[in-house]
Amino acid sequence: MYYVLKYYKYVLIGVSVLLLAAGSLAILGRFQRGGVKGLALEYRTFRGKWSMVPLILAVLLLNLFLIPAGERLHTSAGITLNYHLASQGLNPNGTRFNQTHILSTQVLERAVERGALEGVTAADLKRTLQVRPAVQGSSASEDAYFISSQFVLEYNADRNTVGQDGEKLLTLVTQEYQKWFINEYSANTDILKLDFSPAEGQDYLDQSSFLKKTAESIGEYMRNMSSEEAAFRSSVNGETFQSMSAKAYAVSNTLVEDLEAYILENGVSVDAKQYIDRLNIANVFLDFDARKASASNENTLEAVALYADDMARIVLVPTYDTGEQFYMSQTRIGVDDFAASADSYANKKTELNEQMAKNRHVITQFSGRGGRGTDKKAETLVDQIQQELLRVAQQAKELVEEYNAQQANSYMTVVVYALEDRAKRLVVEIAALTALFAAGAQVSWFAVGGRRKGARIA
Amino acid sequence: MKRFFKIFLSLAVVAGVVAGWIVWSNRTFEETFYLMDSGKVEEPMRLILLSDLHQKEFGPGNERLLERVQALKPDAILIAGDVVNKTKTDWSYAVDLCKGLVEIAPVYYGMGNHENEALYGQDLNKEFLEEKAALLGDSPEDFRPLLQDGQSWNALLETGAQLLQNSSVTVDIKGNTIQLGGLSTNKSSFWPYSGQFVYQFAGENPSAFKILISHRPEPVMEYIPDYDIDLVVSGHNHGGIIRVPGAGGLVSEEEGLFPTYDGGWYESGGMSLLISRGLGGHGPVPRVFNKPELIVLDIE
Repeated sequence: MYYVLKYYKYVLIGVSVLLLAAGSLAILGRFQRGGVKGLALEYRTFRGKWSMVPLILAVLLLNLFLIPAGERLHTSAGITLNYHLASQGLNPNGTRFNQTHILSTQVLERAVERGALEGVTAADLKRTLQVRPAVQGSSASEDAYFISSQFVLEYNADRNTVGQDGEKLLTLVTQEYQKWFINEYSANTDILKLDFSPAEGQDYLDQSSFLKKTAESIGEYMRNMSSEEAAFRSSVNGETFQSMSAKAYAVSNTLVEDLEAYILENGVSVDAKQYIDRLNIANVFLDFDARKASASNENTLEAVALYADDMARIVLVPTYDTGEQFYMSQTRIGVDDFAASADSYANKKTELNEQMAKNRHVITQFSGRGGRGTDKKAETLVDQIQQELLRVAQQAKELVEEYNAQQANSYMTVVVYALEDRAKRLVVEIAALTALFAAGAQVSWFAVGGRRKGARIA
Repeated sequence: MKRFFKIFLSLAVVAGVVAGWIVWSNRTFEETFYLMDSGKVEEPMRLILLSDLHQKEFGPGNERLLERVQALKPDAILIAGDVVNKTKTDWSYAVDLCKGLVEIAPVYYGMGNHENEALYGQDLNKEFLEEKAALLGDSPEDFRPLLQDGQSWNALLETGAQLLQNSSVTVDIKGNTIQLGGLSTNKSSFWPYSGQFVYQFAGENPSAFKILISHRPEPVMEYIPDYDIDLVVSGHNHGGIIRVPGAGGLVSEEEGLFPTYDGGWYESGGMSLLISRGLGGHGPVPRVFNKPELIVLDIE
């Protein structure tokens, strides 16, 4: 059936042209003898001029079924990328766009699974689908160079997939690709699904630092989103990524700070003795690290003093700036690196000392308290912070989802061209091919009948 | 004479073949896949929409239809009405179908005008309901006092399908909170015989994903195009019965020639409207270039 559908049109054209040519040649002699007038007279008296009608109608029927069915073997879809980086051949996150992802095994397997397609595998789909840029540029010259942001996905059925509905297949594949693309390049809200269970049962100070980190992670995530699209504002609550970031940091800087202050001021602990022991051990290790950082800092400073005069301080490299202006770039080498290392060690030492000082402060505050069990006020404060974080996370999630709905979901537009869209052309094609066959059949029949004058002409 | 007989015979053969093709094309159905995004849905879920079967069978006991529905693994099945015909109503057809579907997934059944005529003796239009106002009493949106065929209603209920007529249910589908409602009055009787229900349905439970099954799309687009309902599913217009290439559906009972709501996906404010072209038909005009349609909707 596949070959019938594929080649029917061409066979019909061939047969029609052959009949027309052979018939025309056969009546050429009669035309030369009697001219147009003689031939017209002969045709008027030709008894078999209606004999071909059943055959022509039969061919019309075949055309009505086989030409649209043949057309169904080829379906296409247009994919247009709508984000601004698409014109540079890039994905929304700036990585290189790759059109072959449309036909990736992951996308095709999901399409087969989602459509519960029977008798079709991802490999079958891969074989019958091709993707190409809608407008192809040329790399021969800068003027002809063009990066297409529109792609055409074509389905050309083969023997294995001839019974499948091409429109359905393309719908499934393009929808799966869209899902994959949005999932890959839109903002992920998983970070906003808060889970406080890891901090449950821990000492209050640990719970406090867990909540602080949670608040800061929301704030940082919103800050990153803001750098992607600072102007985006929620139509529901008027929030922006920047304002949500500020809200999250506010939880950390006020509520969590208050909790910490309360804990330290009142020496609130589930098990103060155990906590003090833990901090004492931590301080021993922190002290080792601080001493190491201090020694490294002194060593690198000594190295700078020893080699500063002997090492090249700058190297100039010829280069171009972003405005394509030539300049000599100064490159950091040698002692600059030593100096930077010394600075880094000094900072680390300070940081470790601060941590130890803080631990000592906690130890002082907890000493002698020895409290064991829960503290109502601390529990209430923890609960308040958790509720506030959940509220902020929910708002942030809604904001990201609205952003995704408006931005990511419009990353691409897909149109699957239905057979109905090609109907006008098909009607013209069927009419033209039937007319061609009718002409060929009639001319050849006239030629044959014309020769049998005794039988056919009155 | 013989010549004309031959031509007539040829034309009759052509007409016969075309008629055969129309019959054949209406014996199979195509699947249309839609994808919808919603912030209210945490876990992806799949709905299947059946509409306007008009007692049409795809294989003995709808075997082929049920097989495909099962293969597509829906999380819920929505029926947008007109499963039976108003004349020669065969309720056992609807009961058997519902029994088969309920084994695959939960079924939510909104009534169509044909069910209404079979159950109440007439479609739920304004004149009829005004005439029966005394029976309805203080609850003009509860049509149960008007039931003429309570036995069939109960038989449908016993299949396990959830019948929705000016009523709603809140259910959990794959961890998502979904509120499903059914509207089955027409434009003329929307107020006061359904409007209050739809208003309440739209207003309550804002965090739930709301689906309204309205057999007719027209009352929705006329009266509630901007209500807080996420999705409305409809049928009724049979895709315009005859699909004119390049122009869409030809005719519908409500809208006349070239109806706007002949099938497909429509957006209205924040609401989406999905209209099925249906799976069957009734009346003398067959579906042409309009294959019966089974809708698969994935919401993520």
